Amino acid sequence: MSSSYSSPSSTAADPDDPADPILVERCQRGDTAAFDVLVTRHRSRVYGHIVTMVHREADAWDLAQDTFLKAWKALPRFEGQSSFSTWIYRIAHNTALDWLRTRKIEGSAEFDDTVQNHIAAGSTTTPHGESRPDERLAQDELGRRIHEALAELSPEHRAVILLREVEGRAYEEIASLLGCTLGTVMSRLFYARKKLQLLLADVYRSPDWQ
Amino acid sequence: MMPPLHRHSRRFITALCAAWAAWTTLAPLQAAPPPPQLTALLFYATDGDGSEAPEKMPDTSGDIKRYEKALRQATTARHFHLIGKHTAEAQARFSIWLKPSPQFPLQLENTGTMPDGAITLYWILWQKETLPIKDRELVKSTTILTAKTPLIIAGPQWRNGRLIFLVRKES
Amino acid sequence: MKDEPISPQDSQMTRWIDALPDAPLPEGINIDEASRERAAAAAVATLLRQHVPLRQDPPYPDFFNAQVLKKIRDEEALLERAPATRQAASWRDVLGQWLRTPWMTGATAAACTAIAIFAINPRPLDEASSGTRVLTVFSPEPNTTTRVMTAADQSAVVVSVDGLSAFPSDRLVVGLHTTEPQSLVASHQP
Repeated sequence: MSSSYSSPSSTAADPDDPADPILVERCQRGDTAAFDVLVTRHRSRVYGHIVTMVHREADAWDLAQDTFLKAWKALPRFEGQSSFSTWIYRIAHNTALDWLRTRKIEGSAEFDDTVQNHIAAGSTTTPHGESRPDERLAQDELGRRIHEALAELSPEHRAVILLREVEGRAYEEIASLLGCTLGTVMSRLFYARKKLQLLLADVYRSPDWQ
Repeated sequence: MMPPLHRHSRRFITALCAAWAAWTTLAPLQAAPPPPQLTALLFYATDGDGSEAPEKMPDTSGDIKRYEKALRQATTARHFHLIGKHTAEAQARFSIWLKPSPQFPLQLENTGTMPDGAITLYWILWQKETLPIKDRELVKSTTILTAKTPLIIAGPQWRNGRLIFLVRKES
Repeated sequence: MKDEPISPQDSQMTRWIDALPDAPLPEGINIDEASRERAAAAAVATLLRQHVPLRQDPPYPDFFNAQVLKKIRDEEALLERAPATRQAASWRDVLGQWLRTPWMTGATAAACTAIAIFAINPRPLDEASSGTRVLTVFSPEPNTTTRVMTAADQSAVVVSVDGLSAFPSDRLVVGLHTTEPQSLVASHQP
């Protein structure tokens, strides 16, 4: 199994590290080894996005698997109008969104609320460095607060704010990724910011922060 | 000797037969099949008499004898006690929760039916704690479950024995 | 999801917060108030960037790849198993054309009907001939291993989860109860 990593937007002509379009072409001819390289190259971004959407590592693992399986099946129809990176991201996003919607329906049909999913917010998701125990506890607490605040947003609002603030995407890119209009992107961003500011006001106004 | 069939009569018979053929061919496709039925059994495997398992069930269907060899693959215990049994409809995309204890549920989800009638079963064995809130997935799997072969999940030790689930698709 | 509408002023404000070149401060908005808004948005953005990883490898990344490839192989194997359904569709077309031909006699139609019933009806593949298969099994718990076995008498497929902590003895296991249609429920508290 290849463990090398290169930028998802790799366009290098290195034969040992072929660019995405070359790998895509090989995949379209049924080359699973080429797909293995694409999975290695894009899995951290796909998994990272899904885990922030669904907040559960184990489910994110399965959904990231589904994402790549769907991509493999759809690859014969992929014409390269967008980059593979954008395309796989869109599949990952829709897979996570579909799952969240299904869970919502199931949740309402659930017999026993003791088995509702609890959000293990910020628990083991982020790797921590060697910090002092008291600092680590404070960081864990902060992480938990942020993940709880994100969980308060609808999946659509969450996606937009993460794409803008964490990934630094332009409005047009976000609209293209999520398949919505620019106006919708701005509306979601506006309301997501308002809500997060409300939920996290005590954190960023605290003198201890930063 | 039979007179030759008139041209119109032949067409009429042809049309009638075609309609019948189409109906017998398409009718089974139109009726939505009922959701598959899953039966779950819970065994307690122990060397003792099973007195520590409070709710033993009478094994009227002979399930212990039927699956004894398979159960022995997972444990060296000498005795098997049936402590739970239930049948439910496995509706697509809905979870069934088997809860021998609220802290130890088995989640079963029918994620689709295969062309041969087998179901794709996504299952997770959980450990849930309420104080503090902590959900842990002990093991998870995607399994193609056929009516021919049930699935046995040998879980954790409990008291002097081991808890074992059996999930069977009814044919 | 139905999105809430946004006023032109809020839309312009959003663009101003993001310091887009074509976004002047909306008219009628106090610069101090707008700056506070921008600072709050920047603070939240910093918090998000500090605590939400942009990229994160899944646990067991090599196993992750291996599972994706295994699923692809399994899916392709399944597709190969079910060619009969696709074949049936083309046969139905041929049959339809044949039945519409004017030279078709009643006797031929009857023979064709018999063929239709016995040969074209989309019989399911024989479920009884194939056994249960565990496609993937995964335990996130450390020190836990899983073994997948088929019983010697083929009566079941066994997944043995070994190395789990024992379920506490003081917890009651109450079997599976039959009161709820959607759940195999034991809702009793220990």
